[in-house]
Amino acid sequence: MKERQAPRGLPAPMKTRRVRFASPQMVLCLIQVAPALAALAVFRYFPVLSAVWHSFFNWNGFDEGRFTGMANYGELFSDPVMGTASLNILAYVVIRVALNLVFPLLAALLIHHLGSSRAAYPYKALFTVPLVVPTMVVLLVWKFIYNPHDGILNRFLSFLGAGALARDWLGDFGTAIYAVSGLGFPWVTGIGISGFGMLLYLAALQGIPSELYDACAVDGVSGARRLFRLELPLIARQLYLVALLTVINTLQTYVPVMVLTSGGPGTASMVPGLYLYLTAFSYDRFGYACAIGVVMAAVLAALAAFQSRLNARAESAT
Amino acid sequence: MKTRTLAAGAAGLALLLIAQPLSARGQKDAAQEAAKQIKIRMYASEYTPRARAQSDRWDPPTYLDKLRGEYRKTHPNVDIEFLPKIPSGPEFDTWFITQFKAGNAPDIGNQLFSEINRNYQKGWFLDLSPYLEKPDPYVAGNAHWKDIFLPGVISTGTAPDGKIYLLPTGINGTAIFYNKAMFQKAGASVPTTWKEFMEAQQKLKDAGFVPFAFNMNGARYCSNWTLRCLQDMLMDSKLNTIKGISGPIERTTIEGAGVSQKELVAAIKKGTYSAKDPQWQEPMRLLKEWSRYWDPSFASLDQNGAYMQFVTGKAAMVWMDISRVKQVAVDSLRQFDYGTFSFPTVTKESSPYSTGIAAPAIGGFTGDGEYLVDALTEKRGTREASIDWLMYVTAPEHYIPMVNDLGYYAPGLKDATNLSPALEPFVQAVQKGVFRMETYLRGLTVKYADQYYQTMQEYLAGRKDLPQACEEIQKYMNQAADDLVAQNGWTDIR
Amino acid sequence: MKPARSRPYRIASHLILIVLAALSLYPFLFMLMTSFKSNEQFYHGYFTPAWPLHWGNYAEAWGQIAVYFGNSISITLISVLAGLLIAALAAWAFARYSFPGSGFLYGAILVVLLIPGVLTLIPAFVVLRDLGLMGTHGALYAVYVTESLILGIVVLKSFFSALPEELVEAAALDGAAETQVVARIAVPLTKPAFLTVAIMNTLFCWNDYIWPLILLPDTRLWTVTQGLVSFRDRYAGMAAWGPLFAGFVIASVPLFLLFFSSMRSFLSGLTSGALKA
Repeated sequence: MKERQAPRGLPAPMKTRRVRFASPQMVLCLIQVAPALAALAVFRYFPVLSAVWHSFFNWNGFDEGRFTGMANYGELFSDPVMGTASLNILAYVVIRVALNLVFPLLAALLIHHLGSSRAAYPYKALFTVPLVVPTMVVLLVWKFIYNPHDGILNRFLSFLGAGALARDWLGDFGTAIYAVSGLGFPWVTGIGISGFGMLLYLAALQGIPSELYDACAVDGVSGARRLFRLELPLIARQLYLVALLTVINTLQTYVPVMVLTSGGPGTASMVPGLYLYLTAFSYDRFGYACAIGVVMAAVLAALAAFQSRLNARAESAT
Repeated sequence: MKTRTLAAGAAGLALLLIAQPLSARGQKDAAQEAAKQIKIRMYASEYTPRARAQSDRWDPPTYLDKLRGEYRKTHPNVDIEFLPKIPSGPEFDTWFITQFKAGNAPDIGNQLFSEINRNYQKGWFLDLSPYLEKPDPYVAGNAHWKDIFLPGVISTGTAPDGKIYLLPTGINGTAIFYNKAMFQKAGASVPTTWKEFMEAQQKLKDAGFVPFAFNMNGARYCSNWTLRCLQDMLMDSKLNTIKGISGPIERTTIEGAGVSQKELVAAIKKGTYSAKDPQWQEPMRLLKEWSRYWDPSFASLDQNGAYMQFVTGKAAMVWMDISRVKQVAVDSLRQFDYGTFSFPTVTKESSPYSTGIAAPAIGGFTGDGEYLVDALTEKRGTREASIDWLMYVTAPEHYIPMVNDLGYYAPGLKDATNLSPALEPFVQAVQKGVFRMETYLRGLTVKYADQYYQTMQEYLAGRKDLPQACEEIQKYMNQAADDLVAQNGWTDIR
Repeated sequence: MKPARSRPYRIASHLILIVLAALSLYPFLFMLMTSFKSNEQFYHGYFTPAWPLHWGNYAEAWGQIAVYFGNSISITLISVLAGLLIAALAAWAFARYSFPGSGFLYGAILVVLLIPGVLTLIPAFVVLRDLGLMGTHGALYAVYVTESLILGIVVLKSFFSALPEELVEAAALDGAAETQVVARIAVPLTKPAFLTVAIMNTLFCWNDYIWPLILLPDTRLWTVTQGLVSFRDRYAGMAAWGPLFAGFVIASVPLFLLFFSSMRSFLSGLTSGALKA
């Protein structure tokens, strides 16, 4: 039986029941799991295997293709565009994880410490409205904000007297990828899935028993110390979940880059997801595109393995 | 006995009388069955008819709707459905490829000749050659359908295997639009040579204006057109060497027809077309010279942005294709008088490689109305109907009004009576001759085009110098040449 | 529930939160503002409201997409509900039982999360074509249900696993059958999880554009997002911004309704119930 350690003060979670092999219960379990697995097998696993298979070919997506062994992978590792794209996506992922952890948390803490759920409710509602806006709209709005001539950003900078800082954010070699990474100011509601971060943190914070707060007050622990000793550890799970989902999602990004810069100028804001898309649909080289995809998936898998080991170590430590 | 025979006879007669109208109806049923209901799906791109909406600033095209109505009067069993228009660019290309792959493509489609040439081997498109030999019943006195088109339509639509999968009936053209008020204020005059062009822009710059709204983001038309013009003029003396012949290469109306892709690849392999050649580098040098006068945000500026810069009076010039003619004329944002001129000639004053030849027209048979027929129409039983409908649409008495109604493209028909005067200059320009060698957009591989532009942007931004950029481009060129040789099985090129 | 803080602190918090909320709402406001503008008004000032308001944009947008609303609603509804059901079944099995191979299978599902979606676009398309689903809503159901499963199973399993052992055992002791345990106890207590998964999947299905584009050539089957496409390329590349954004606003109304009707129970569920002592 698997025991999971509950955070202090919360009831013990459900224990799993061992099922014997080939027992009627096992059959039932398999039946329950079957539809999900069937759908995934046909529409996810099989296409993935097909993609892996074709990564060893010179394939244009249509006819048989020529077997080329590891040639695609060899080319991938010596392709300077992949090099730039990898560095770019690293920056992108790091920035977005940081943004998704810090700012929604900030807002959640502020709301939580207002002290009453009545005061909190309107803010929860307000911060949920942006989630309704389609992603395309957000991207278009930011394209206008970054516009070098009439965009808000440059106008704001010259209003502040910092006009010298104004530049072509999306067209400048040095700033293009950072402009794309940093979009969504003030980063409380993010784009897409990360928009739920704040609500998740808030829910977790509100789940902290008030006795613990009282204990802190008695001990004279407050402010930053309380944040780091009490609150953060107790919502670590949510923080971790958001970080994980952000990494998984952003590693594959290509839509924001496609809409805002098309990977330009030059290849300054190219990312692997977009390069995959271009290679497959514009350059007709599906085999190579599959190779890129396989490498991306391998990187994600490595990250997942690494973090699960960290997780196991952290859990055994508590 | 007699009564029985009488009765039998009467019964027989009665049966005959009843059966007669029944069999007549049977015949009518059979006839109706033969004239079965046929449904054609057509993607008409810019010509897709629609009703005027409140946000429209001029009437949208409706002529195809009218044509459909007229056609139905004589062909009541044919129903034509116009598919909604999809934005051009990656979305359209994705849709196009996936529909054909799934066997779900429209019976009549619309696509660029370069895309047809990339995909014809997949067997998706119907070979129209046999039909082009047949007479077009909707054109009086026509013996062969192909005779109604300008030669450029047929030659542009001919794929590398010699078959005709496409009828690019629309002519596209370009012009440089300029702001007359700004020119006047700056004391600049309309240029005819490159030197004058740079001088005019200097004057505009000194007067505090942005001379040219050049865009490099999104669709690469502006930079592509520039390079085609410059390369055609500056490599004029070498074109025949590249092609591998001794005599001169005349300008025709077919884009890039002077040097074929295969000849270009052979030239790359031989080294006669090389990025290390200073003559090859000349267009890049001139482009960099010109970039001083561009709007500084050219790297993120797209076609619409460039148009907006011009029409709101922020930049003095912009280079656009004829589909914008209508728009500029009626745009209420425009508060100035404008004119057009064509790309200036590079003379010996600006480059030692000039031969004095004028700039080629940029345009060709790449305007909408590029009709292709799905090969699967055979199976669906819509083939004959589709061809007939196309013959109907392309008949001058129907096509010209349709073209006038849209106002974006010029017709590729020999008979252009009643053509709107605004569109005529573009037909003439194309007739004068277009660029003879295409290397920057569709000439080699799409990947090469991307790599070339990426490197060029770095060069223009000063991040790479000319020798370095050219060395990289040479590598890309070699790779593209190898890819094309492998793809096409050109074993005779070494 | 939580300790109240001093007055000046709360005032400062309110101020900061209001500023953050206003800034976060800007894209939404931009969408609203632009939906009432004509193209001229838009180009004159992208970021500020303009008068007069062009209500006609809404009529135009509605005229364009009304047909597709039914499609979008049915597709999203069915996909999300089917996805929830299948995911819940599987998640419960994984959470409650440890059967031979369950670790492996669950790990396999986690792995799918890691695969770049764009990689599987073409092979999945080929599979759909070979199954004869091309051009039908069935193809979209297949894709969307599969997509929603991944997140659904992971989230639901983690919530199921967090259910208190005592409650589950107590119910079992009372003689409740498995299905009753699930229906009477597990599901109500994890309602916020169900809502969260439903909402996230609804967002995805509703706003998705790529799959309908390549799978549905027949315009009668189109979704709302496809219907909006024609506004983006009105005149050889130029958009009709007003109607386009009006269309986006209209398209977001169902999401709005969904969110706000479920917000109360969603939020109250998060803060009460089994997660607290």
